[in-house]
Amino acid sequence: MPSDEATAGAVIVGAGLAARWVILTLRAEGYEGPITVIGDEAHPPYDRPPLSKAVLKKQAELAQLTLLSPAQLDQHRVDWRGGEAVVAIDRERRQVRTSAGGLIDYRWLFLACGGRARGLPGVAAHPRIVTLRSLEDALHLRAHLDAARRVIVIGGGWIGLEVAATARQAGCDVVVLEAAARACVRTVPEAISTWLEGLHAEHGTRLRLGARVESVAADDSAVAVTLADGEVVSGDVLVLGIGMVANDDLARAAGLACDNGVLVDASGRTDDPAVFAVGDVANAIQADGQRRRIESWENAQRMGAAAARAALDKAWEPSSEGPPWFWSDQYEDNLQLLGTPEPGQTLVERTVAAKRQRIFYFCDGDRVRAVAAVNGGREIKVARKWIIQDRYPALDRLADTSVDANKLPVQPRTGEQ
Amino acid sequence: MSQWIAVGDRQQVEEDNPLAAVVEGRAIGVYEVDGELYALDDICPHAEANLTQGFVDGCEVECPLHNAVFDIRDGKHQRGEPCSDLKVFPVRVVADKIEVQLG
Repeated sequence: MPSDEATAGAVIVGAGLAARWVILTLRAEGYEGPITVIGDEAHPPYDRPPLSKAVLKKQAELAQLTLLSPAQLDQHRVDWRGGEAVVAIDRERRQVRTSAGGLIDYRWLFLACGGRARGLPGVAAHPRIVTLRSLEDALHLRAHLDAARRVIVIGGGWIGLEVAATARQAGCDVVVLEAAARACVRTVPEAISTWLEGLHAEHGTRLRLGARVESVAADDSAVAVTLADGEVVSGDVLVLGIGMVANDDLARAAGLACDNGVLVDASGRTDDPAVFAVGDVANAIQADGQRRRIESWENAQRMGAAAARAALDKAWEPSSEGPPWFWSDQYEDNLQLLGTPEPGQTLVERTVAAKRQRIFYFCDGDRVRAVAAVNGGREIKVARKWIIQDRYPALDRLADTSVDANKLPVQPRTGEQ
Repeated sequence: MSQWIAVGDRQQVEEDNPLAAVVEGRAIGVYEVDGELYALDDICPHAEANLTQGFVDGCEVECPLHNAVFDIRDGKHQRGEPCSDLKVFPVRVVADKIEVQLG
């Protein structure tokens, strides 16, 4: 029997940031029908960026991370089912089956089920070997940091570097082992990697680049990582920060097209008009026409809102939000990246040493295409405005620190007076 | 009634260029929107950044660290990450000095 149109509403699988934005947007756009959220964690929806920083530092607990409090879930009339999982999707009947045995009809299904931390092949689970994805993971690692003196991190990406910085600030000796020739190689150009490497060196964190892990051995008292060049790095705890795997199994089993995530268009639509995928699990067509899975906080937010609007057939203009943006907090510094720097772009640097500020503008012709900023949140937001309006200052003035970035006059576009 | 406390000169504040002050240990930002002055808490409740270091666009200020956006006129959280509203304080200009009242 097909689902009952009168009772079938929005069903969201996963209870993170993307789910939150599906809920808020559906309600803000006037949808009055039922919303059911099924999340396999028992906690109400919570925010993950603080897990690698404030939670490890004991500066934040669950209460500060909550994305939708019980009162807000109530206010938005959300049937929240924490600690349950969806085990199957029946697309013909528009129905999901839950681990509790329930069947829930949907009018739209939003897959916001994120991903799981990647493990190291051939390395067995051990209490001294940890990953970081959930609140439980963070609390487990935090308990280790209380006792640990030596922390090993495999992976010099964002999670690895943030955990390294936090552990170092907690007084641990920290070694980061990165297989690539530079830090965060997948997401930033060389100038930013160089800055990150310098930052960790300045704080006394050892960052070993080009480190090929040969084997890992853990016992009750320690963990040891043997590298291909024969070096053995010993520690009290090993953190694996080697990326995530999209939780696309459910979609795959339901016959939806998947390849490193659920394949969707820019609004999160799959080939099935009733099914959407958003956030970390979605491998989406981006503004540049390329398909990419973006693992960022802002992407989860944007996609959740975009898919909710698409479901309701509301117009949505992605370019009005500007290029993708993310941030990382390490030690006392804040790094933000706007847009996607490409090879061949001209790099213009703006440095204000007194503010510990470095802004890297990546330019193409007379346009700023991407910006990386160390302690320059304002400059990032100013540049976002330039990009959205497609009007830029003269590029030779970007480095002129005698004028605030927001005071630089923008140039008229060709053809304008 | 609590007293008015001088925090700076009127010309120190212009549109897009707020003034950061500390009044009795409390960080306050003073902004100008359409010729009017507004004083509000300067610390973003989300991550303890100084909002006066953020991005002012018309009647809104966006936190420099992440992307919480507040209305300068009433301190209300508009968009971005979940965050509480900012407290707004009475502000006036006397003899070219900006004064605020913590209340």
